[in-house]
Amino acid sequence: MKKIIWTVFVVLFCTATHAQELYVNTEPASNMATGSIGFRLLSKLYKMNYNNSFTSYRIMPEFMIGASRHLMVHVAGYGSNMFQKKFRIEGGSLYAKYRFYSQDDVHEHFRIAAFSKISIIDNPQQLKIETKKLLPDGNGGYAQQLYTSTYKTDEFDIDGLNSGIVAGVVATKLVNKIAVSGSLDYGYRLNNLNAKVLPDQPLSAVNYAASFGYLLLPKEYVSYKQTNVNLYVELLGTTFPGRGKFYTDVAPAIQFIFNSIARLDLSYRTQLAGNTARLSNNYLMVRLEYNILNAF
Amino acid sequence: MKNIIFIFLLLCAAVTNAQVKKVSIQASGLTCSMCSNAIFKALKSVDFVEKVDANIKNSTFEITFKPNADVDFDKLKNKVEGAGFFVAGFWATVHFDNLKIKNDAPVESIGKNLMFLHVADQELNGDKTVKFLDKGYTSAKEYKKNSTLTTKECYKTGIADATCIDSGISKGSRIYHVTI
Repeated sequence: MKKIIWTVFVVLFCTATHAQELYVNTEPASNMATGSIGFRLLSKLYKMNYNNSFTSYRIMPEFMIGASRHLMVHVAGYGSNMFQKKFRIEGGSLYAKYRFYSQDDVHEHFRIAAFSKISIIDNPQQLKIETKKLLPDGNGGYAQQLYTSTYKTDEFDIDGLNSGIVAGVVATKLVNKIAVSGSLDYGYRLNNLNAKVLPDQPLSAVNYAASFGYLLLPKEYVSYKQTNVNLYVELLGTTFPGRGKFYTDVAPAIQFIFNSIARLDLSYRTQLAGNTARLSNNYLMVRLEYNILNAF
Repeated sequence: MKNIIFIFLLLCAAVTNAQVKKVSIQASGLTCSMCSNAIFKALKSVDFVEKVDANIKNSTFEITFKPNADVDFDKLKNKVEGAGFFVAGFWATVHFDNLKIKNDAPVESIGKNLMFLHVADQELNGDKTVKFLDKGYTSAKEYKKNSTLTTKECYKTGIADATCIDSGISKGSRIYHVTI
């Protein structure tokens, strides 16, 4: 599996004739246009580690605004059925990105932006699953008994899982029609609204990402109506300083852009390596995005 | 009768006055059509713009204007920057009417203050395309290279100071640097 992923990396790197930076699992250093607004609806389907099945989902509506050519702001909401059987609203987040360095030339740029995100989530710190089992009752019959299994999570995911704050930088380089983006941020776990951080859960997290993009279609741009197809591979990692715990995920993605204004992203994220207690190591993601330019 | 003569003279003035016929902008920093569309829509939203033709592949935009529009070049440049990108090249096709120009000397035309650089002294007539050299109107590399063409301070600021003023061009007014 790892060999295949590295091969994909190398092939993308060497053959990319056009590059795209509208990454699916991370944000590029570039911002959206001043005065534009955007709407996203993201849905993740998680393969849960406790039952090895795709039984949890999370829905995230997101509103984006291009405040200036340097600053953009996102507001997102989260809801899922991860910690209970029925869908429940979990909380929300506020994200801001400030582009402070740009070096542009025709068909190339190097940009750096600083970003921060705060997330307030109302989830428990542990997943409790109740199962009913039939056990001998001692009288030759069977009786039903209720078992509760507890699954802990040390994962740092402020997009719905836990409250927290992150701050970091992202740099995107587009040169010779190849785009590579790298980001590094520091995260701090905050208490969830009704569940304090557990004593053994790591507070600090360092998150990093490396993203690569490739424009598959169209071969030549002639109109804004052409549907664009982009392929992405992103490496997403988190380490917990002083804890010796980490996880590194890979997320290939395909993206369709319609009328140069709407996006459909499909991605699959899976763990490459890691030793952290997580509720899920894999998810499928679908995201719709629609932008309104010159909205204000 | 006097009024009719006055209107006739005004019409003549409108016809013979130098005017901007079209502007071409090449944007830098993008390869995607979504990015190009952001610039296209931003340019289209400008009040004096009539039509924008985009070449997505080359990131160029050809802009034509409403009749008798006062074309604000800075506004067009700022729209490209507002969309999140930069101007790598900015050209205006202007209809000139007996405009005498001298190298590195200010002159008034198209309702703007212009400073022609890297040109021979001449008289401009008919449609000519001028290339803008000011900061933000060309690549940073080219702007730096062109700094040897003049020693005047207004090349750096875009604002007429004591070295860049002439009769009719007041200190502190916007001055554009162009070449042919």
